[in-house]
Amino acid sequence: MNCDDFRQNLHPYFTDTLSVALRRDVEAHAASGCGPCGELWALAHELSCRELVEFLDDYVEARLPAERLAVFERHIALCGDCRDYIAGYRRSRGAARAVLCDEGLAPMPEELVRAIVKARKA
Amino acid sequence: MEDAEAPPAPRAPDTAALPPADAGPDPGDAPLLAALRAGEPGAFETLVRLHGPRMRAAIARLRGSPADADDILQDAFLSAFRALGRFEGRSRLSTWLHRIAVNAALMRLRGHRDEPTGDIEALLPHFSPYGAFTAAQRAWGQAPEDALEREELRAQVREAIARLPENYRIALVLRDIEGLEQAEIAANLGISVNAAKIRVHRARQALKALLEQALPGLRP
Repeated sequence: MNCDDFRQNLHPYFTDTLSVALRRDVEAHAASGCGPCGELWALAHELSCRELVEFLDDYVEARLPAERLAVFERHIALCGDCRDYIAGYRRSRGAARAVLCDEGLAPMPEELVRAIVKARKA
Repeated sequence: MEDAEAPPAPRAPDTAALPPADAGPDPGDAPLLAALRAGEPGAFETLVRLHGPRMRAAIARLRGSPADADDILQDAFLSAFRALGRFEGRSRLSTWLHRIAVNAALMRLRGHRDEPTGDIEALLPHFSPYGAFTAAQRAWGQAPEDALEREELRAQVREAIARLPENYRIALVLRDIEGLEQAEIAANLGISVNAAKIRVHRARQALKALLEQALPGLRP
Protein backbone atom coordinates (compact mmCIF):
# COMPACT_ATOMS: atom_id res chain seq x y z
CA MET A 1 0.00 0.00 0.00
CA ASN A 2 1.34 3.45 -0.88
CA CYS A 3 0.78 6.71 1.01
CA ASP A 4 -2.19 7.82 -1.14
CA ASP A 5 -3.95 4.51 -0.61
CA PHE A 6 -3.20 4.72 3.10
CA ARG A 7 -4.84 8.14 3.38
CA GLN A 8 -7.77 7.06 1.26
CA ASN A 9 -8.40 4.02 3.43
CA LEU A 10 -7.86 5.66 6.80
CA HIS A 11 -11.47 6.81 7.26
CA PRO A 12 -12.98 3.45 6.18
CA TYR A 13 -10.52 1.83 8.57
CA PHE A 14 -12.11 3.62 11.50
CA THR A 15 -15.67 3.16 10.27
CA ASP A 16 -14.91 -0.55 10.10
CA THR A 17 -15.86 -0.86 6.43
CA LEU A 18 -12.61 -2.32 5.07
CA SER A 19 -11.92 -5.94 4.29
CA VAL A 20 -9.65 -7.80 6.67
CA ALA A 21 -6.88 -7.78 4.07
CA LEU A 22 -7.11 -4.01 3.54
CA ARG A 23 -7.14 -3.41 7.29
CA ARG A 24 -3.90 -5.34 7.54
CA ASP A 25 -2.41 -3.31 4.67
CA VAL A 26 -3.32 -0.03 6.40
CA GLU A 27 -1.77 -1.20 9.65
CA ALA A 28 1.32 -2.46 7.86
CA HIS A 29 1.83 0.87 6.08
CA ALA A 30 1.40 2.77 9.36
CA ALA A 31 4.10 0.60 10.91
CA SER A 32 6.39 0.79 7.87
CA GLY A 33 8.36 3.81 9.04
CA CYS A 34 6.73 6.29 6.64
CA GLY A 35 7.01 9.49 8.69
CA PRO A 36 3.97 11.55 7.56
CA CYS A 37 1.67 8.53 7.51
CA GLY A 38 2.94 7.45 10.92
CA GLU A 39 2.12 10.90 12.30
CA LEU A 40 -1.33 10.81 10.74
CA TRP A 41 -1.88 7.34 12.20
CA ALA A 42 -0.90 8.58 15.66
CA LEU A 43 -3.15 11.62 15.34
CA ALA A 44 -6.06 9.47 14.23
CA HIS A 45 -5.66 7.35 17.35
CA GLU A 46 -5.25 10.26 19.73
CA LEU A 47 -9.00 10.86 20.11
CA SER A 48 -11.94 9.06 18.54
CA CYS A 49 -15.11 10.72 17.22
CA ARG A 50 -17.03 8.95 19.99
CA GLU A 51 -14.77 10.45 22.66
CA LEU A 52 -15.04 13.89 21.09
CA VAL A 53 -18.83 13.73 20.96
CA GLU A 54 -18.99 12.48 24.54
CA PHE A 55 -17.32 15.68 25.74
CA LEU A 56 -18.62 18.01 23.05
CA ASP A 57 -20.62 20.02 25.58
CA ASP A 58 -17.39 20.83 27.43
CA TYR A 59 -15.82 21.89 24.14
CA VAL A 60 -18.59 24.24 23.00
CA GLU A 61 -18.96 25.70 26.50
CA ALA A 62 -15.20 26.28 26.79
CA ARG A 63 -14.74 24.03 29.81
CA LEU A 64 -11.87 21.93 28.45
CA PRO A 65 -8.43 22.39 29.95
CA ALA A 66 -5.88 23.72 27.45
CA GLU A 67 -4.13 20.40 26.88
CA ARG A 68 -7.38 18.57 26.19
CA LEU A 69 -8.59 21.42 24.00
CA ALA A 70 -5.48 21.05 21.84
CA VAL A 71 -6.26 17.34 21.37
CA PHE A 72 -9.81 18.24 20.32
CA GLU A 73 -8.60 20.85 17.86
CA ARG A 74 -6.18 18.40 16.28
CA HIS A 75 -8.96 15.87 15.81
CA ILE A 76 -11.35 18.48 14.41
CA ALA A 77 -8.75 19.68 11.92
CA LEU A 78 -8.48 16.10 10.68
CA CYS A 79 -12.11 14.97 10.79
CA GLY A 80 -14.84 16.37 8.55
CA ASP A 81 -17.54 14.29 10.24
CA CYS A 82 -16.78 15.88 13.57
CA ARG A 83 -16.65 19.37 12.07
CA ASP A 84 -20.09 18.86 10.55
CA TYR A 85 -21.45 17.32 13.73
CA ILE A 86 -20.16 20.20 15.86
CA ALA A 87 -21.58 22.77 13.44
CA GLY A 88 -25.00 21.12 13.60
CA TYR A 89 -24.82 20.95 17.40
CA ARG A 90 -24.05 24.65 17.63
CA ARG A 91 -26.71 25.61 15.12
CA SER A 92 -29.45 23.55 16.72
CA ARG A 93 -28.68 25.27 20.05
CA GLY A 94 -28.83 28.58 18.23
CA ALA A 95 -32.15 27.66 16.62
CA ALA A 96 -33.69 26.71 19.98
CA ARG A 97 -32.52 29.95 21.53
CA ALA A 98 -33.66 32.04 18.58
CA VAL A 99 -37.16 30.58 18.69
CA LEU A 100 -37.75 30.28 22.44
CA CYS A 101 -36.07 33.47 23.59
CA ASP A 102 -38.12 35.63 21.23
CA GLU A 103 -41.44 34.41 22.54
CA GLY A 104 -43.73 35.33 25.34
CA LEU A 105 -42.49 38.81 26.14
CA ALA A 106 -45.87 40.37 25.62
CA PRO A 107 -47.03 42.84 28.26
CA MET A 108 -48.86 41.35 31.22
CA PRO A 109 -52.63 41.06 30.62
CA GLU A 110 -54.44 43.51 32.86
CA GLU A 111 -56.68 40.84 34.37
CA LEU A 112 -53.63 38.78 35.31
CA VAL A 113 -51.96 41.74 37.03
CA ARG A 114 -55.17 42.39 38.96
CA ALA A 115 -55.50 38.71 39.92
CA ILE A 116 -51.95 38.54 41.27
CA VAL A 117 -52.27 41.77 43.22
CA LYS A 118 -55.62 40.60 44.63
CA ALA A 119 -54.15 37.21 45.62
CA ARG A 120 -51.35 38.97 47.50
CA LYS A 121 -53.85 41.02 49.48
CA ALA A 122 -55.99 37.96 50.31
CA MET B 1 -10.32 11.16 9.55
CA GLU B 2 -10.92 11.59 5.85
CA ASP B 3 -9.56 14.98 4.94
CA ALA B 4 -6.26 15.84 6.52
CA GLU B 5 -5.32 18.02 3.58
CA ALA B 6 -7.62 20.98 4.10
CA PRO B 7 -8.40 21.59 7.75
CA PRO B 8 -10.25 24.85 8.39
CA ALA B 9 -9.19 27.24 11.06
CA PRO B 10 -10.39 25.96 14.46
CA ARG B 11 -13.47 27.75 15.69
CA ALA B 12 -13.52 29.49 19.03
CA PRO B 13 -15.61 27.84 21.76
CA ASP B 14 -19.19 28.97 21.72
CA THR B 15 -19.39 30.99 24.91
CA ALA B 16 -21.24 33.79 23.15
CA ALA B 17 -24.26 31.54 22.77
CA LEU B 18 -24.75 31.26 26.50
CA PRO B 19 -27.11 33.58 28.33
CA PRO B 20 -25.36 36.46 30.05
CA ALA B 21 -24.31 35.77 33.61
CA ASP B 22 -25.87 37.84 36.36
CA ALA B 23 -23.83 41.00 36.60
CA GLY B 24 -24.49 41.37 40.33
CA PRO B 25 -26.68 43.87 42.14
CA ASP B 26 -28.40 46.54 40.10
CA PRO B 27 -28.60 49.93 41.87
CA GLY B 28 -31.76 50.52 39.87
CA ASP B 29 -33.54 47.86 41.96
CA ALA B 30 -33.12 49.83 45.18
CA PRO B 31 -36.12 52.20 44.95
CA LEU B 32 -38.58 49.41 44.15
CA LEU B 33 -37.14 47.17 46.86
CA ALA B 34 -37.40 49.98 49.39
CA ALA B 35 -40.98 50.67 48.36
CA LEU B 36 -41.89 46.99 48.63
CA ARG B 37 -40.32 46.67 52.05
CA ALA B 38 -42.06 49.83 53.22
CA GLY B 39 -45.38 48.43 52.01
CA GLU B 40 -46.00 51.38 49.74
CA PRO B 41 -49.27 51.13 47.79
CA GLY B 42 -48.67 50.15 44.19
CA ALA B 43 -45.17 48.79 44.74
CA PHE B 44 -46.18 45.16 44.35
CA GLU B 45 -48.19 45.97 41.24
CA THR B 46 -45.16 47.72 39.78
CA LEU B 47 -43.08 44.63 40.49
CA VAL B 48 -45.63 42.45 38.72
CA ARG B 49 -45.83 44.71 35.68
CA LEU B 50 -42.07 45.13 35.44
CA HIS B 51 -40.91 41.55 35.92
CA GLY B 52 -44.02 39.54 35.08
CA PRO B 53 -43.48 39.23 31.32
CA ARG B 54 -40.02 37.66 31.63
CA MET B 55 -41.10 35.32 34.43
CA ARG B 56 -44.24 34.33 32.53
CA ALA B 57 -42.19 33.54 29.43
CA ALA B 58 -39.76 31.38 31.42
CA ILE B 59 -42.63 29.44 32.99
CA ALA B 60 -44.28 28.88 29.62
CA ARG B 61 -41.00 27.60 28.16
CA LEU B 62 -40.55 25.12 30.97
CA ARG B 63 -44.16 24.00 30.85
CA GLY B 64 -43.89 23.53 27.11
CA SER B 65 -47.08 25.54 26.60
CA PRO B 66 -48.79 28.63 28.05
CA ALA B 67 -51.41 26.42 29.72
CA ASP B 68 -51.58 27.07 33.48
CA ALA B 69 -48.53 29.36 33.22
CA ASP B 70 -50.56 32.16 34.75
CA ASP B 71 -51.42 30.14 37.86
CA ILE B 72 -47.76 29.28 38.30
CA LEU B 73 -46.78 32.91 37.81
CA GLN B 74 -49.18 33.90 40.57
CA ASP B 75 -47.61 31.27 42.87
CA ALA B 76 -44.17 32.61 41.97
CA PHE B 77 -45.05 36.21 42.80
CA LEU B 78 -46.62 35.22 46.10
CA SER B 79 -43.49 33.18 46.97
CA ALA B 80 -41.32 36.14 46.04
CA PHE B 81 -43.38 38.49 48.18
CA ARG B 82 -43.13 36.17 51.18
CA ALA B 83 -39.37 35.77 50.67
CA LEU B 84 -38.66 39.44 50.09
CA GLY B 85 -37.22 39.87 53.57
CA ARG B 86 -34.60 37.25 52.81
CA PHE B 87 -33.50 38.85 49.52
CA GLU B 88 -30.08 40.23 50.33
CA GLY B 89 -29.55 42.10 47.10
CA ARG B 90 -26.43 40.19 46.09
CA SER B 91 -27.93 39.55 42.66
CA ARG B 92 -30.24 41.51 40.45
CA LEU B 93 -33.87 41.48 41.45
CA SER B 94 -34.72 40.19 37.96
CA THR B 95 -32.35 37.22 38.40
CA TRP B 96 -33.79 36.39 41.81
CA LEU B 97 -37.35 36.53 40.48
CA HIS B 98 -36.40 34.47 37.45
CA ARG B 99 -35.06 31.70 39.69
CA ILE B 100 -38.26 31.78 41.73
CA ALA B 101 -40.33 31.48 38.55
CA VAL B 102 -38.22 28.56 37.33
CA ASN B 103 -38.57 26.83 40.67
CA ALA B 104 -42.34 27.38 40.72
CA ALA B 105 -42.65 25.87 37.23
CA LEU B 106 -40.53 22.87 38.19
CA MET B 107 -42.49 22.35 41.41
CA ARG B 108 -45.65 22.06 39.34
CA LEU B 109 -43.92 19.63 36.97
CA ARG B 110 -42.86 17.43 39.87
CA GLY B 111 -46.51 16.70 40.40
CA HIS B 112 -46.51 14.98 37.00
CA ARG B 113 -43.41 12.86 37.42
CA ASP B 114 -45.33 9.67 36.79
CA GLU B 115 -45.81 10.63 33.15
CA PRO B 116 -43.64 8.57 30.79
CA THR B 117 -40.59 10.47 29.60
CA GLY B 118 -39.41 8.35 26.68
CA ASP B 119 -36.03 7.37 25.37
CA ILE B 120 -33.78 9.30 23.01
CA GLU B 121 -31.24 6.59 22.24
CA ALA B 122 -32.33 6.43 18.61
CA LEU B 123 -31.59 10.14 18.19
CA LEU B 124 -28.00 9.89 19.39
CA PRO B 125 -25.10 9.24 16.99
CA HIS B 126 -23.75 5.72 16.58
CA PHE B 127 -20.13 4.72 16.30
CA SER B 128 -18.08 1.86 14.89
CA PRO B 129 -16.07 -0.36 17.23
CA TYR B 130 -13.15 1.95 16.37
CA GLY B 131 -14.99 5.06 17.52
CA ALA B 132 -15.86 6.65 14.15
CA PHE B 133 -19.35 7.78 13.12
CA THR B 134 -21.15 4.89 11.42
CA ALA B 135 -23.17 7.35 9.30
CA ALA B 136 -21.47 10.15 7.39
CA GLN B 137 -22.21 13.57 8.87
CA ARG B 138 -23.18 16.40 6.56
CA ALA B 139 -22.98 20.13 7.02
CA TRP B 140 -26.19 22.13 7.30
CA GLY B 141 -26.73 23.93 4.04
CA GLN B 142 -28.42 27.05 5.34
CA ALA B 143 -27.83 28.79 8.62
CA PRO B 144 -31.04 28.29 10.60
CA GLU B 145 -30.52 31.69 12.17
CA ASP B 146 -31.36 33.12 8.74
CA ALA B 147 -34.01 30.58 7.83
CA LEU B 148 -35.76 31.13 11.15
CA GLU B 149 -37.12 34.43 9.92
CA ARG B 150 -39.82 32.27 8.36
CA GLU B 151 -42.64 31.47 10.78
CA GLU B 152 -43.15 28.05 9.21
CA LEU B 153 -39.61 27.06 10.16
CA ARG B 154 -39.96 28.56 13.62
CA ALA B 155 -43.03 26.40 14.14
CA GLN B 156 -41.04 23.34 13.08
CA VAL B 157 -38.29 24.17 15.57
CA ARG B 158 -40.89 24.55 18.33
CA GLU B 159 -42.38 21.21 17.31
CA ALA B 160 -38.94 19.53 17.40
CA ILE B 161 -38.31 20.90 20.91
CA ALA B 162 -41.75 19.71 22.01
CA ARG B 163 -40.95 16.21 20.73
CA LEU B 164 -38.08 15.84 23.15
CA PRO B 165 -38.97 13.66 26.14
CA GLU B 166 -39.99 16.01 28.93
CA ASN B 167 -37.03 15.36 31.23
CA TYR B 168 -34.63 16.16 28.38
CA ARG B 169 -36.61 19.16 27.14
CA ILE B 170 -36.59 20.68 30.60
CA ALA B 171 -32.86 20.14 31.05
CA LEU B 172 -32.18 21.78 27.69
CA VAL B 173 -34.40 24.76 28.43
CA LEU B 174 -32.88 25.23 31.89
CA ARG B 175 -29.35 25.32 30.51
CA ASP B 176 -29.55 26.84 27.06
CA ILE B 177 -32.50 29.19 27.45
CA GLU B 178 -32.80 30.03 31.15
CA GLY B 179 -29.03 30.00 31.67
CA LEU B 180 -28.88 27.90 34.84
CA GLU B 181 -25.54 26.38 35.81
CA GLN B 182 -25.20 22.60 35.91
CA ALA B 183 -25.26 22.56 39.72
CA GLU B 184 -28.49 24.59 39.75
CA ILE B 185 -30.08 22.25 37.22
CA ALA B 186 -29.01 19.27 39.31
CA ALA B 187 -30.47 20.79 42.47
CA ASN B 188 -33.73 21.73 40.76
CA LEU B 189 -34.18 18.30 39.18
CA GLY B 190 -32.96 16.29 42.17
CA ILE B 191 -30.17 14.58 40.22
CA SER B 192 -26.38 14.61 40.38
CA VAL B 193 -24.39 17.35 38.65
CA ASN B 194 -22.92 14.79 36.26
CA ALA B 195 -26.38 13.44 35.43
CA ALA B 196 -27.55 16.98 34.73
CA LYS B 197 -24.57 17.58 32.44
CA ILE B 198 -25.23 14.38 30.52
CA ARG B 199 -28.95 15.10 30.25
CA VAL B 200 -28.37 18.56 28.77
CA HIS B 201 -25.81 17.23 26.29
CA ARG B 202 -28.04 14.36 25.18
CA ALA B 203 -30.99 16.71 24.82
CA ARG B 204 -28.95 18.93 22.50
CA GLN B 205 -27.86 15.93 20.44
CA ALA B 206 -31.44 14.69 20.19
CA LEU B 207 -32.69 18.14 19.20
CA LYS B 208 -30.05 18.30 16.48
CA ALA B 209 -31.28 14.98 15.09
CA LEU B 210 -34.92 16.04 15.29
CA LEU B 211 -34.20 19.33 13.53
CA GLU B 212 -32.35 17.52 10.76
CA GLN B 213 -35.40 15.28 10.30
CA ALA B 214 -37.85 18.16 10.43
CA LEU B 215 -35.91 20.67 8.36
CA PRO B 216 -34.42 18.81 5.42
CA GLY B 217 -34.07 22.17 3.68
CA LEU B 218 -31.21 22.94 6.00
CA ARG B 219 -29.27 20.01 4.59
CA PRO B 220 -27.29 20.37 1.36
